[in-house]
Amino acid sequence: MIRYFLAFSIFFVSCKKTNIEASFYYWKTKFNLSQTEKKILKELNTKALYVRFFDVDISEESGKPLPVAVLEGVDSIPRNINCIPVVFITNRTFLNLNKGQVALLAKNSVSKINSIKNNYAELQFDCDWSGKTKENYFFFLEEVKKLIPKDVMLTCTIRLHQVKYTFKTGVPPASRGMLMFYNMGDLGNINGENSIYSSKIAEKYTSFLKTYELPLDMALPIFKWYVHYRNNSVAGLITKNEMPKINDTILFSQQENNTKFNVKTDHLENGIFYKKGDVLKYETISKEQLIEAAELLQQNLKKEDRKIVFYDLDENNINYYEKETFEKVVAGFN
Amino acid sequence: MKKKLLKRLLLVLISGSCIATITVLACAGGDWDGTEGSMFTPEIINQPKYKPFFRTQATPFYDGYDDASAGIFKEQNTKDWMNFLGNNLSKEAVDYWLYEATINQIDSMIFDIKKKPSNLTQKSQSYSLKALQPESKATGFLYFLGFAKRNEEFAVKEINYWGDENKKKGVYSITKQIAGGVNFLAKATDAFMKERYAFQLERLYFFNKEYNNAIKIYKENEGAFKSEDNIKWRALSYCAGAYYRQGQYAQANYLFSKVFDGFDALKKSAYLSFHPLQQADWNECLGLAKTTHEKEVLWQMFGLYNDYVTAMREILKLNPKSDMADVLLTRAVNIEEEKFNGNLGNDLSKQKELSEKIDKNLVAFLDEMSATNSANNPVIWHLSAAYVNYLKQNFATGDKQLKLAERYSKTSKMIKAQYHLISLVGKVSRLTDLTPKAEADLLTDLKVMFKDEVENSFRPNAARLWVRTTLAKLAIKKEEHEKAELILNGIENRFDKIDNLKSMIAYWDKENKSEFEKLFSEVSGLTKFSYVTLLGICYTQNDQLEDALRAFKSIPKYKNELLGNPFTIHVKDCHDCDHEAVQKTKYNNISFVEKLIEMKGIAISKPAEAGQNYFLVANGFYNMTYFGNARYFYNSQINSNYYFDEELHAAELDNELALKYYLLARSKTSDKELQAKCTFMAAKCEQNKFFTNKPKDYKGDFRSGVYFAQLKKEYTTTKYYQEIIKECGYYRKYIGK
Repeated sequence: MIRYFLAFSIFFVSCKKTNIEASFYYWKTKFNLSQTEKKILKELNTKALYVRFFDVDISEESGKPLPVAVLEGVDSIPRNINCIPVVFITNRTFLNLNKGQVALLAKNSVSKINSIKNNYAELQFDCDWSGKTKENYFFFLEEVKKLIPKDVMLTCTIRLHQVKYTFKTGVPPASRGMLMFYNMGDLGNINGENSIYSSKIAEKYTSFLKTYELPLDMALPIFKWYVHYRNNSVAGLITKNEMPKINDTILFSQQENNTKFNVKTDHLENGIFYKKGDVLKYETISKEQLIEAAELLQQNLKKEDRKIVFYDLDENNINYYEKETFEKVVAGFN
Repeated sequence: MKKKLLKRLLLVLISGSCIATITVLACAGGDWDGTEGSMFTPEIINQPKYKPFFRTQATPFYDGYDDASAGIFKEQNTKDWMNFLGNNLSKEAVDYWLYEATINQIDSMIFDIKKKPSNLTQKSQSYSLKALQPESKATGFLYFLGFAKRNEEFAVKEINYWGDENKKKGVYSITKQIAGGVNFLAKATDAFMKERYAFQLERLYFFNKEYNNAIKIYKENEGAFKSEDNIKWRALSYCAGAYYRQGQYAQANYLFSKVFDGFDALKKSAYLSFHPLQQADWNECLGLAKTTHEKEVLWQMFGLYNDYVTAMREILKLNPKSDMADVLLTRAVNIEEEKFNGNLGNDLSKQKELSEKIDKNLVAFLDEMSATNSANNPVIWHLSAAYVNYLKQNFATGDKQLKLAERYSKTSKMIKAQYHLISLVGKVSRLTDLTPKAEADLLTDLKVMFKDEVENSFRPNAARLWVRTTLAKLAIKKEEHEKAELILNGIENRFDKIDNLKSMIAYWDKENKSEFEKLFSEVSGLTKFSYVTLLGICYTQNDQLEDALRAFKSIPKYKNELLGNPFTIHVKDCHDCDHEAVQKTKYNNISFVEKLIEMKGIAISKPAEAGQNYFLVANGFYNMTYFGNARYFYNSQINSNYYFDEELHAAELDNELALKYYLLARSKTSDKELQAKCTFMAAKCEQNKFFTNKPKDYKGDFRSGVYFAQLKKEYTTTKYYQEIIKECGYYRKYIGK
């Protein structure tokens, strides 16, 4: 009888269409949507945006945790979009705090969030916690739970290594996790795989997804950057409005058959110094790879309602893909 | 100013670039600042004012982000005002009015001077300005204070970013304050008062985002800003900041460089504000510099941020004798070194594979600098050149450069130490065989590195460890294990064998030691007797108690007191309780072994007492292991690794000897109670053995063996059995209670 019932319920579940919602991260210091950005939100019928409110880091000066780069312009978030506050906290913030200080940080964080916007259905924390900071971070989340209304869902980001090595990093006390399905490769290796996404590396982690103890939403990359190498070592990451005029042939030349560029002339550009001989490695995720990532995930996930959140909403990122790409990716999870 | 600049720093989005941070920090690990593996001491340039800009990975500045400038301004301000008031007022009084008195008290003081009803507190009265002459100075001071204190609301904001500062409504209006400032400035006749009002007004304009006016006020009053160590530079900083806010980066950066160069207290702040964005700005900025010196400063700042090689070249092209490239040089060398950072500091064993990562431009430049030998402080160039060439394994070039450094090598303790350190890096890096000649060749350098007193800031540790490791490994290659151990204690893990210990002791006893061996035995920190101690311990583990006793007794003044009574045991081990308990006899290693011998003797000679004595002997053997109250027995200077390493400490974890004697004791007694005790202790030994050797995939936390079964089967009627049930939850679980 039980067997019969089980078989029936599986059949029932697989027939039901899951609800997959598309969303974006908004990761800037000032909220200001361009026309293109507004358009894609409308086209994908996006109901919610994950908006970075501020970062938290230990202040060099006082040794205490402080908010950094607090978001401006929250008032311009469109009324029909639910704003989900996200706070990024550096791992080192939790390294040397005692319980009292963690509780204070939770209190400060929630009141800072509320001073920016005090009405939200979900609240997310983003921290690449480790075995060493696990206890403090989880305690922090517990404290936050006490400070927010019961109907606000507390979620947190989960990195791939935290899914694979749960025995080391534990599972955070949150309602849902947001799996960051990017930043996989080794940045330091100039000839290495694409550090944003590589199916080869991704496959090493995906088998652990089904057994992860939290229901997961998926964050997928649509960003791009240049990894800046000098003498074969990483000198920095060049993103967003720091992007160089790569087509200026006096300054840069592209290497054959790949996405690397050589710096031809010493020069300063957008605050970054390029030295002759430096190499820039352009990294992004193609629409084929994006769809492939979705398929790979779908094969390794339980069928259930979830959000697919693209990182991050920026005209320069959006322009690279067609509306259909986003739709296909989202549909892949159904 | 400083707070404003700090705030600008806080606008940088860290989450956006955190992956890069992780990559950089991952190499260093923990809370290190990245200098732990360094072999090159930046202090050799002997220019203390540049200390904040020495290379560090942890904070923006080598000496931390202190808030020294605020204190310096405060003190200077007091001095300036005391001077203005004709030195007729005490420092305490001036401090009080400047930093403590409220606006209400300042107004009251004016009323009091003007003989109107006032409301002065006792403290204000004790610091009264009433007697101060001329009266106009006192009132001038007070009017200014009233004005300036009202401005604090706009200029000095408490840094509490958790607070909701934007929504806080102020009491005063900035536009009214500006209007007041214009008025005060126009009326001021005294040069000093003009300076102060102009500064206040400039600052108000700045915070009211009227950058044109801020710049205008600065320019109109540039001649009035005369207070060195204070207003002169602060006013210039605000002007630079105003240019920056207007997007006039060339001007802004140029002025920040003047502050950087002119006023040490604002050096850090000016450095953080200096930020050329585009090549065109930078070219324009260079064009603004009026003198060679100003150009050198600009290049120096550029080099601190960006390309140190170009910057050094430009500085020395402008002025071949400039010392402004020196700080860049030390940063450059320290940055190259970081590429070798391993877990234990610089790991030069990777020289070959890492030499490709060394900046070729830097090496070429240092080669030139060393060859021309024309710098202001040539030795630091020769040393740097030799060091990077050695890192790159260009030994012939490095040798030439080191030779050039030699004649300066005795100019200071620091240079001398650095010279010999680099010489060692060069020699040891290419060593393939530790021959007597090679040893002799290293002697002079080794003596300086290991025996000479060095200055605190000198960085010998990474080099010492690397030299020791490399030489010890070479000795091992030649099967000279004792020499290897002498060079670096613990390089091999071989002292679980008595024969190896005996050869090590013989090596220490050797009479015809070479100079090399003498040196390392002098700096070893160990003596022959460190190994004799270990020998005694090993003999005890082997149950060779007479040999152990002989070994321990041969050690002069040897006394290794045990913390608890080693012959006591409990159902539940509690070391702290045993250590705190009153002990009539305090045992040490010698008396402990003597007692073991005595009890074993009794056990043999008096069969009736054999069970009890073997039981006590077994307790002793149990307690001297890791699980017992007397594990301090193992205290020795050798292999005393900070981390507990199971492999290194295998013998300490071994309960076999204890188990043997518990079973022996049980077999020699008919007392059921004693038998129960022996069986329970045997169970402990059995479990300790299982859990220290458990298979890696074993996930359970409970395991019972043969002795629990025996207890359950044969000893349920004993009193001790009841005690076990009462105290040992583990056993209760086993019997299902």
